[in-house]
Amino acid sequence: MADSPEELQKHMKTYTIVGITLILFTFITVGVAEFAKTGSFALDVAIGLLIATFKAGLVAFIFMHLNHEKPMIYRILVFTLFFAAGGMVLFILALKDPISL
Amino acid sequence: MEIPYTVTARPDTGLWNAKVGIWLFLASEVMLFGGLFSSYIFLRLGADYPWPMHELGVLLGFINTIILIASSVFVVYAWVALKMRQWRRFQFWMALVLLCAGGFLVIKSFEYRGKFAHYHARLSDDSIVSGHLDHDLGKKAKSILFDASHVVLNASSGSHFFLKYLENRDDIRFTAGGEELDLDRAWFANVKDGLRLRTKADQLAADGKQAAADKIYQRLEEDYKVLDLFDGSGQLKVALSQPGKFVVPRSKVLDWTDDTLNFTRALSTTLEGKLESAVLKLEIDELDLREYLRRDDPRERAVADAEIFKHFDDEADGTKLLADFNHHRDPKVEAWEEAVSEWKAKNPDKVYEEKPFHDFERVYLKDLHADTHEGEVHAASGGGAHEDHPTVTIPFEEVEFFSNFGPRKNPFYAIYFTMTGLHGLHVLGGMLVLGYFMVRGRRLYLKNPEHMANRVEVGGLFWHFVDLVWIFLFPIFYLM
Repeated sequence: MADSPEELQKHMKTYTIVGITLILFTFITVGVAEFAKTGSFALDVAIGLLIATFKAGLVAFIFMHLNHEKPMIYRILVFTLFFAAGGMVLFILALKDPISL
Repeated sequence: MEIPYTVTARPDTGLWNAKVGIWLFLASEVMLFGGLFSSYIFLRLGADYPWPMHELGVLLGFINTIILIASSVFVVYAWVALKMRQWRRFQFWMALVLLCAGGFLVIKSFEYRGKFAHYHARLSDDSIVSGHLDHDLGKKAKSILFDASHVVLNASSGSHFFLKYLENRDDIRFTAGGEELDLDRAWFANVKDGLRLRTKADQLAADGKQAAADKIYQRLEEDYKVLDLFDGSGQLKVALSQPGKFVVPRSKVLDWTDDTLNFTRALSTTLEGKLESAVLKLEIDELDLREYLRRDDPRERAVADAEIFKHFDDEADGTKLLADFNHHRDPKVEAWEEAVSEWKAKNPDKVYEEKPFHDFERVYLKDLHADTHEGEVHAASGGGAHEDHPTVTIPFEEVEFFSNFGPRKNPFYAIYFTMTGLHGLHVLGGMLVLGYFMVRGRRLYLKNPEHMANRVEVGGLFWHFVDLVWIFLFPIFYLM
């Protein structure tokens, strides 16, 4: 990553813009959830989580510099996210109750 | 010893070592929080009660989200300042990060206090009320009042903690077997030790080691005379010189009758005397009849028959609420009731378990707060009485379940406190590390500024992760 003062100044600007975007999307999250419900609960949840994922992406890629990392970091993360995502869908196992006939 | 690759990249990984370290650590954190998010999904999908929505103060959660985002921006500013070799500026931004983190925790503590001061009672017919303890009575509002003439102590528990529930302790003398007793902590510790010694001596005697046993018996004779007062089953009945006014929180009581009260097993003590009162007094802010109506055919369980309406201190309050319920019934509710009745007629052998969590069902959830969240903050700050709220007096024997809005209320609050509590600990941990860099980092900065910048980058990565977790916690707990 370039460390020249000009480059760093440019980064500062990016961080500020990302910060403002994050705050803006927090307003949007609350606004949608409180005042602009779609009528479908599932859709409301999907929209809420989509915005949260977008915000998390901004934090990860810009603040945590994942937009220009070394391959090793990506390897660690792909491995981790595979298992973390697996955890999120474990509930499917509970939907089918093996005891009931 | 020089630690290698703190600044320069290791040839095989292409990274300085701490960078690999922090990402491996963050990977483990992803799995930790991932497991908890997975638990949240399980609990929510499997909930056999209406999942609480909009029960947390959105405004406070929203402010905390903004605070954490701001702190994330400040932490990268601080890192850039170090990269530009501006120590003072680095300290300035880091101080702002710490200020934000402190603010986050203060707001969180207000939220927590509000929850712990807010109570909830489910009656035997599943009607549910929430509210705050009667302002004038304070803790007495959730306690059983008992006038004791005798206390039966169980020496094996060694417990004397029941004394803290005795209001007129200073006026009372305790006697047993004609002897005055000093019920202090040390005395009871002795009893417990003494019983253990006696058991040991008995065992030694049984094993034929009489000399060793006699030695212990002699010690017991000299130092543990009080043991003789206890009967064969390890109990001691103590008389009180005048009725002891006990105020015992319901949670500390196992059971009671008109003339006895048993503390929970941990306290293992029984009071004998006269029960004064065993009622819960709440200033209610919410009435929830959804569970009550779910159990049976809604048309066979009229709202007006719910137990709770019998317990309003002012009958007019109950009548008004009932009128409100009826007023707000709409065609959708009628349609739902109709559908449930038809289902029941077709399936007489099955238990009705469908979870009707649709919006119209909120008709049966009556929020008496103009603004619930304002009320929570109000309660947390120890504010005044809720004069405009109806009060109820419910006999404890009709209360099936009683707790504050803490983790034991239901799985929603259990997972809420687990996840936000763990997140809060991460905030605290981050504060300590970043604070250390700010206060004690100058020496390293002067020696090797790039190394210091890398340290801050590592701390910053952790801080961003904490922010990232909150970005998901906020909507799932506060908004949906």
